[in-house]
Amino acid sequence: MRFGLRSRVVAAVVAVAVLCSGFVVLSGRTGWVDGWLDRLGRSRPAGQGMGAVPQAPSSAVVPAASGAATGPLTVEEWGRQLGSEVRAKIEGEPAERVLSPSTRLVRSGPGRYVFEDLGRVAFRGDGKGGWEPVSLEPQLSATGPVAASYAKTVVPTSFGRDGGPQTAAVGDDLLRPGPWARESVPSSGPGRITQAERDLLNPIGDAHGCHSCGAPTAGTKSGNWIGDHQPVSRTVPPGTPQVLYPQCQACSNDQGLWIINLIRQGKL
Amino acid sequence: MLLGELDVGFPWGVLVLTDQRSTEEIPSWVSDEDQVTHSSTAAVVRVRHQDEGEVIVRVWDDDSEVRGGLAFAASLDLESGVLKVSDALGDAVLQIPLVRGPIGVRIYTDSAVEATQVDLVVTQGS
Repeated sequence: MRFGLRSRVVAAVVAVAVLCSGFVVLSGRTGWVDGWLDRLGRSRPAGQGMGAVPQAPSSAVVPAASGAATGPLTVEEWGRQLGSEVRAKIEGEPAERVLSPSTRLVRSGPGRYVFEDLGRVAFRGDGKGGWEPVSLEPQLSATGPVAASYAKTVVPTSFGRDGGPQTAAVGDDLLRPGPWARESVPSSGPGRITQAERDLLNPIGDAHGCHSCGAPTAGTKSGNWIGDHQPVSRTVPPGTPQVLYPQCQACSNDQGLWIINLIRQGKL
Repeated sequence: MLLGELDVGFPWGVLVLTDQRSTEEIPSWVSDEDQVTHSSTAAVVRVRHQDEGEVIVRVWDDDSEVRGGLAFAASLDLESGVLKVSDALGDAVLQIPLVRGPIGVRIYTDSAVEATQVDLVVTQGS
């Protein structure tokens, strides 16, 4: 009898741990550990739940909590909205994962999203710290013939200008969309930006600041924001689609110096 | 005498002067107000970003025709005997053959912020 009680307690603890591992926080930071795409996203077999999550910098952020999706979006579509890949962070763990391009995000309430993928877990947070099983077959029916599905509640984080701690990007972080990256402009290609791109970029910079450091002004004589190509042109093959984020003069200089040093060291 | 001239856009708004073979790391600017940062073999100058327009860079062997104010003066080690003046990626580049060893470098700019004209004076010996 006593043994049975202990077993039930242990089972309950394990169950809670499993359930808690499903709580996911949305983060839009991009760039690092592209290999995750293969290990965690694109190559994950359908029907397999998410396993161990690799470690990631604890400074990882992004938000766009106000970038409200109005309906189901694939991660690819969502990523375009953010100008980035979409990553999810499991609450309580300093880790992020790249969401599979086939994952769909469904707004489930103000600031809350359910992400769906081809898996076997079926939980979601109820917004009150609890969990409830969900059935997404009707929604998943459009994505293909799957026998099971899982969903996890996605809560966009609120860091930086929206609250919480945040620091300016330095070093390799300058080669990625920064902590203040919110919106971006599709790029017509590497090199000098066009006037049309500038006309779209300036309002974004004025609204959100430098994507790398959050500076509210560009620091240029004209007041124009610098168009920072992401991914950085030198780091990707020609023809790779890029977007532009607003960047201040000082961060652009810092990024340039970082690249100069990478080239001098034969790393780029 | 004019040794070379560039009239191009500068990605990231940075101009590089370096010993052609140097791999030495160049430290960051001490502050946002500093126009030049340098190591023993290289210097990087903040100039106007290519998004904002071109920059004219001229390399001289004396100060007689320079424009603007003095922004930097120091000695650089030139072990290769060639001074490379370029943009960050080395796409636009001048290669100035000089005698191996230390060279004196003076940098004149028309503005401390977003310089559009840069005159470099290089002299043999420090």
